[in-house]
Amino acid sequence: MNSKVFLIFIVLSFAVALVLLLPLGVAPNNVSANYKNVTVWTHVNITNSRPEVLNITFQDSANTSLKNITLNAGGLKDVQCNVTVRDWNGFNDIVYLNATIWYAPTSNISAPNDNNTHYTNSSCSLNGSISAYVGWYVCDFNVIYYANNGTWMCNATVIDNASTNGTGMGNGTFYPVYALNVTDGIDYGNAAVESFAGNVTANITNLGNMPINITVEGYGAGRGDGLAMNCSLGGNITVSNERFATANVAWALKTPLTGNSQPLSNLTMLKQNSTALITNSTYWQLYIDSTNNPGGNCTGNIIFSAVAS
Amino acid sequence: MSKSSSKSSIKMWNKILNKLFFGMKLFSILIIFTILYSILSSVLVQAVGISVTKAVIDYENVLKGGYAEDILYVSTDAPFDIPISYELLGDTKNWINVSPDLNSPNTTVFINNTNYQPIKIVINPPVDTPVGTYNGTVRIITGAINKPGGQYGSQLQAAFMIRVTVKVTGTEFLSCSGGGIVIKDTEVGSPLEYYMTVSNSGNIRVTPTAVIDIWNQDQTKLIMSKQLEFNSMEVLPTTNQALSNTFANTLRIGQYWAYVTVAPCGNSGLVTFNVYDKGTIVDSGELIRIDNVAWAKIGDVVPITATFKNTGQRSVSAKLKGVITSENKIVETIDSEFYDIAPGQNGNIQVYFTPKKYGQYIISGRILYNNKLSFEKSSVLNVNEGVEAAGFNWLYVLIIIIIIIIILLLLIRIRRKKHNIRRL
Repeated sequence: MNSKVFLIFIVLSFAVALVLLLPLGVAPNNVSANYKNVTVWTHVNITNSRPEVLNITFQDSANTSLKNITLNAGGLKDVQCNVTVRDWNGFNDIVYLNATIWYAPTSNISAPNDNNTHYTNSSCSLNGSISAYVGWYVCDFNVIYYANNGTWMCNATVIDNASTNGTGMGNGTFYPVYALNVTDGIDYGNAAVESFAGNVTANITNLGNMPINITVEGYGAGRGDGLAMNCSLGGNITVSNERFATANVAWALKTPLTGNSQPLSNLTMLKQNSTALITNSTYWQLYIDSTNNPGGNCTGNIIFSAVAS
Repeated sequence: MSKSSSKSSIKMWNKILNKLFFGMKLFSILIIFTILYSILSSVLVQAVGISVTKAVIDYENVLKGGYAEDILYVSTDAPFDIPISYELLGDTKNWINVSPDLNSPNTTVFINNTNYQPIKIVINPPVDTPVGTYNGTVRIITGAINKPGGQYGSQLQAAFMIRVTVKVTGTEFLSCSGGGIVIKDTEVGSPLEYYMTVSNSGNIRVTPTAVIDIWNQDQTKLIMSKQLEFNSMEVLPTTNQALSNTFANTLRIGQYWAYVTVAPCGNSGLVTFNVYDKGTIVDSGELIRIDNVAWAKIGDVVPITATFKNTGQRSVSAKLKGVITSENKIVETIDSEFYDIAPGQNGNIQVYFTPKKYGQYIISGRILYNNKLSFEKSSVLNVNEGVEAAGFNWLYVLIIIIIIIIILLLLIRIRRKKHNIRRL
């Protein structure tokens, strides 16, 4: 009986000791007697770190080595901001990156979108990683031909899973583009000799991003021949019998064409500034002079020459 | 009978009227389409544009008897070929050469909406040109861009006047830079190919040379040094010249570093290249990135995807090899299955990882493809939620064993006592 009580006592003592030795959910610091060996229970709590924009490069999507960009006359050009970002929670912690480009001299990041000066892209895409923390994104912008030439800024804002953000800025250059669009030939139709052929319109349009001035000159068969037209059955029409104007005025008020470049007076074609195309009209008229016996079909040439304004 | 005949005649008239009405509708629709087509075609088809990227060119510090060049681009939106020519006007007209020669009687240069034309404007002022500023014009002229159809009409041509300003000086200066240095990977026994670009921004011509020092992988030992020549090729002022050549070597398989110095520019650059076993150079690829979610809980099964691009000429069998580390300790190794990736294609190689503890994990890996290794890429996995599994404590085991032994000893003692009592 005594031995049984002893046995139960022993077992209970060990059980109590075991319970006391079990961890109670508090991380203890056990300090040994000689204070040399210290065991520390640690608990790492990863917190969010703010993403950063390390670098922004402006580039032509068709040739990424080109930092200075030539826009497509009369069309669109794909321009990219290449954004290098870092997040200490991993580049893959970034959920969203948007970018804005604007014309540095006159616009700013918060200006409204404008084809001349301001574009935004809210859906940039991850293109690759450089390290565990650094990745690079590409933001595309379809820039129209009349966007201002000069220095443009690119600002990118990066947002991570915890909605913290970082921003950065870069810049690039759009080159000047000079572009002239000329409508169909000048067709006077049929007319009798010693009469005036009809008032015909020729439209010219600036499809670049720079203002241009226009000169005109004419010739019959070869440059400087002093003719407006050369005729299929012999004969011709002298160059001064063809006249032009920038307004729809009478023959007498029109300027006679010459074999040398003459400016279209008071006409500086500014660049377009909206998608509603502005076209300049020129008005042309021909006098069929019998002096040089024009016969058959008569054709000539007119050169519209653009020069930087 | 009469009723039925009248009904049938009404039906017949209805049919005739319907057909007539339908025919008229069709006719009017056709007329509207014709009018619209003629309006649209007259607006959209007949306009032709020409553009130039530079309308003003300035040449600074051109040496008497020297050389300078610039390039402009001429393009059009016309879907058909338009011939172009040029005219030279002003002070500089006798010093300018245009390349290609747009006025050559033997060839005609055309532009269209798929083919723009670079035009090089070269300035060669005579040796006896006085120092000063000179102005001129290059006019680029298209051929006729349309033909009128009536008895009297004028064809139109478009032109651009490009203003040229040349500042002539008598002072020489040297300014150049070398860059874009590349040494291509090679195979054992094959010559090394090297490339570089020299840009001359001075006003005298330069004859570049380069010295290449090849170091071992750790950059601790100079393996060889070589003076590079480019067949005395000259780089003219205002131009860039791509230079390349090859040289024989006895390098073994491995990675090397080359320190290249370009003379007389003084630039230098460090590049790396590999010497491979014979037959392996055709395989090449790039590990673009390793993707995974940034945040996960303990116990989550996290997919890890490596995107690999096969840039070589044949299919490769690729696998992801790497490690997952936390606090600089390896937690798990990565060794995926092989995936076949066709040339030019991107392939995704996937593995899975289940974090068991809190912390930040760095996932680093390379792609092993046809016995070649890609550059390493890495990503991050952050774990700060979930319940950690309790650690295994040997102290508890020891205590339990001791208890069991004591219990057994006590049981033996009790049995012996009982046995002794029975004997007595």
